[in-house]
Amino acid sequence: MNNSSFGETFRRGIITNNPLLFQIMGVCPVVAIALSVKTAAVVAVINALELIIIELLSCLLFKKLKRHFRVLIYAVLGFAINLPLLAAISRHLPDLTESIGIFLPLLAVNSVIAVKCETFAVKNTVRDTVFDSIATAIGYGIVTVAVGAAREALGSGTIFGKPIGLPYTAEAFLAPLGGFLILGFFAAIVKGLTAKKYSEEVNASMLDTSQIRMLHIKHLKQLIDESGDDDIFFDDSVLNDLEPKQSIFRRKQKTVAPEQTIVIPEEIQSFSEPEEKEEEKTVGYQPFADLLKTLEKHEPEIVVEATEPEPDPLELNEEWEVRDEELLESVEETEKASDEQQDGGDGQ
Amino acid sequence: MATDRAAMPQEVKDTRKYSLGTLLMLAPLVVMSTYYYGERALRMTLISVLTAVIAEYVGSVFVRKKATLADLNALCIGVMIPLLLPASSPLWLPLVGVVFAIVAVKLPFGNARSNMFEPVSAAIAFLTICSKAYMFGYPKVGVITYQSTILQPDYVAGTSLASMLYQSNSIGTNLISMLDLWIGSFVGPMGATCGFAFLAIIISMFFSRRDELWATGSFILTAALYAFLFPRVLTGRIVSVAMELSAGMLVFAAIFLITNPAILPKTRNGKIFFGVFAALLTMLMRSFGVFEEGVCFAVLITNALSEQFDKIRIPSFRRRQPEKAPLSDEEFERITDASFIDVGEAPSAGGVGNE
Amino acid sequence: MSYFFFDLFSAALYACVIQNFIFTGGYGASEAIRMSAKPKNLFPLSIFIVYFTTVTSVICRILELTSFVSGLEALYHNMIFYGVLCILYLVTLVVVLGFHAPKRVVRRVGIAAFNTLVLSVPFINYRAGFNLVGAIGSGIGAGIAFVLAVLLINTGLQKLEQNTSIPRHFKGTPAIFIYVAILSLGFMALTGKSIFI
Repeated sequence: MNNSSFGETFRRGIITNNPLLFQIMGVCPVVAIALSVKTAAVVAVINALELIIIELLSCLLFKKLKRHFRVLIYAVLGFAINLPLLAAISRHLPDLTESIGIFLPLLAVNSVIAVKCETFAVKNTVRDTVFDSIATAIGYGIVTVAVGAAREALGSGTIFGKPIGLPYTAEAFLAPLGGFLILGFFAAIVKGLTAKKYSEEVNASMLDTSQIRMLHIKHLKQLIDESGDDDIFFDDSVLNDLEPKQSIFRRKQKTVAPEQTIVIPEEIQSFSEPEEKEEEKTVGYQPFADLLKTLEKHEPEIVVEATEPEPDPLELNEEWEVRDEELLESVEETEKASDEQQDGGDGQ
Repeated sequence: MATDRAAMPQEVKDTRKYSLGTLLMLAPLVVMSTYYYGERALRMTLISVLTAVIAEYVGSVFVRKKATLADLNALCIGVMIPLLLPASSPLWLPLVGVVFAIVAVKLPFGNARSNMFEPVSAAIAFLTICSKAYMFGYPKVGVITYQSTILQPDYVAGTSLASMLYQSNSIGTNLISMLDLWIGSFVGPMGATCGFAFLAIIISMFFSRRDELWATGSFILTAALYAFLFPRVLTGRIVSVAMELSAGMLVFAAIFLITNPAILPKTRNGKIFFGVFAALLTMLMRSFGVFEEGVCFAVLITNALSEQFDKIRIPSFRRRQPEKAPLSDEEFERITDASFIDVGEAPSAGGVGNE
Repeated sequence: MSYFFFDLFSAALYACVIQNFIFTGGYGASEAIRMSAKPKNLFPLSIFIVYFTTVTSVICRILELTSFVSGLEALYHNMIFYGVLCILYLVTLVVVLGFHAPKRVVRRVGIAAFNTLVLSVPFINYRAGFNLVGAIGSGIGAGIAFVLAVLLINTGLQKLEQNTSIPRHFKGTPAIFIYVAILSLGFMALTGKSIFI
């Protein structure tokens, strides 16, 4: 952040870290009053002046103060800048004061100012703060004027007070509902346009909803715990090292237990009803409660053996011997000669 | 729009089946609207259906998602919106509503299976705020031709039941008979007046969508009870109940708008509380609101709280339930589907501006 | 006595439901959305917000009833409202620090004091011409409206988190804005168009 260039800071402030669109700061004035290009421009200018001056002052003078006093000073400075501007506006633009006069004083406590000062101005150099504050002010201003223009066009059918000849005007856009809707679509458009190059930055600057995500995961964990299914476990490590579309719950891999051989003493064999008369009963994975209960009384010897290695098919059975070794050698030579002939034939 | 049926995912097939059922249920209402208001009603319905399909296709291109036109949800939206408008409304009114429903309410949140708000009720609420005069300027029944809209000189205004209730005027026993109320020949939204049609639809729901009937039934019963206890007219409680249930879009909303399967609570008790809450809000908005019909706004607020209704627990004095069985694979898939984390939203702890 | 409660209740209802400050007015919207993404911090913050809205509202109204203040221009009313809020914040801060409250509580005091919601209440009272009881009611109502808004938006954020079908470019802030837009549409039945005058 400290060594970012002029262009990068501007790009960040206007596009990827836009305070209105992605960080949800200072939405109130835009949604409540930016109903036309004129009023939106007034909001943008007042906000820009306040933001730049207060950020500069807080970077220069207030780094040493405690946080709870800084918040008060931001508000006082905001009021101090706002009042003369209000006086000027009420003198030169009286019709504006009539329509939005109540909202202009609220610009003094715009959340952009406090949040930007606390997160940036008191932690960085003067040069960076100046660039960042100008970039943020421009970003806020551009979006405000765009929203104002869109709401005026769709809601009143005019731009700058001149009708543009739309067949139908939806007055709902002059309500806060319209402001939120247009902000949402603008945010989606900007996110879409910057998707290829800057998507990571945009995602990082958006509102942090990780607490909500954790609550959701805890709720899912509770559901799975309540179901009594022991096979599912929650893989914490996934959260740190994400792959796309990876679930954070898995089923445990079922491992097959080695086969157990149970040697049953002769006295007990008569109790059971063996299907196969064998001395050794190989028991797989299936439970058999009754037989186990009987066995518990007599404590048989349970031997777990590894599977026997398969016999090497090349080894001859002990019952067989090589009767005639010379015959075997001659047969092998003949086979070798016929192979070489075949190879030679193919070569030509 | 060639859809390969074999390649359609199962969920789209399910939604398609549901949408076909809904269209079948809407058919008698379209027929009644054409009966009362003639060619105009049919034309409005057809044009708005066409607009819905085009809006969904074009909107899907803009949001860069594949359009699931095959699930026929756009058709349902296109049919439902004109039925709730006056027959004399200008043609662009349902078009604006349809475009808003699909582009602003449905597509930003995904598709029909992931609706967060019911698109039709949001569209009607939007239109109500935009142009209250067109939304509630009803014509006299049967006195409408294709040309006459509210703007034309041959428009004959009628007084709807909802506006009569709003002004505490009763129909008494002579203005409109009970039979007229049932067959729907009174002033109101195009397709939301015929009581017999609604009765037939509710009976069909008993066979095909019994689960949703809990919400519908509790909605209608709560509204009737409220109308009985707090009548807005002075000619008796029965007349009040009859008027309140026939007026505006109440029964239509009970059947079609609160039963959106993506939003409706999953448990039976949840559905009942959902219906009761929506009905109470509707009646309060009718009594104290600025508009004569506020059911669509009530549906929106109830949609926002839909998940909470499942969590309401009535203390039970029965024996403890036996332990739950382990999750089946399908249930496991369903739960873990919701826990996928898209790497595009890296949960960074360094979100700017958080204290 | 009954008039007191009726005025109080009707003013609170007005601020909370009929013309909900956040949804039909847009005041405090950004604070509401940001707070609803952090539900753990909600309880101390909501207490302070209700406190600040009510007390600011009452003190400003009391001052306006004096003949000195009521004769002043609108601009001076602005100054008085600002001044009251700053002094109230200082007093509250001193009290909270005096009780050796934990750091996170002290932080909440700052956020709760200086936001558009708290400052808008005295202005609305001035415009709507509430009497003293009405001012108390509207202050309480505004605070409750904020808590209600945060809870509603929080349930919405949870639903958005579970929704995997949201298109890629709408994930995150765009979907939150559109959700709040349609939620505020639902609140407009009681007020028609938002006119806070």
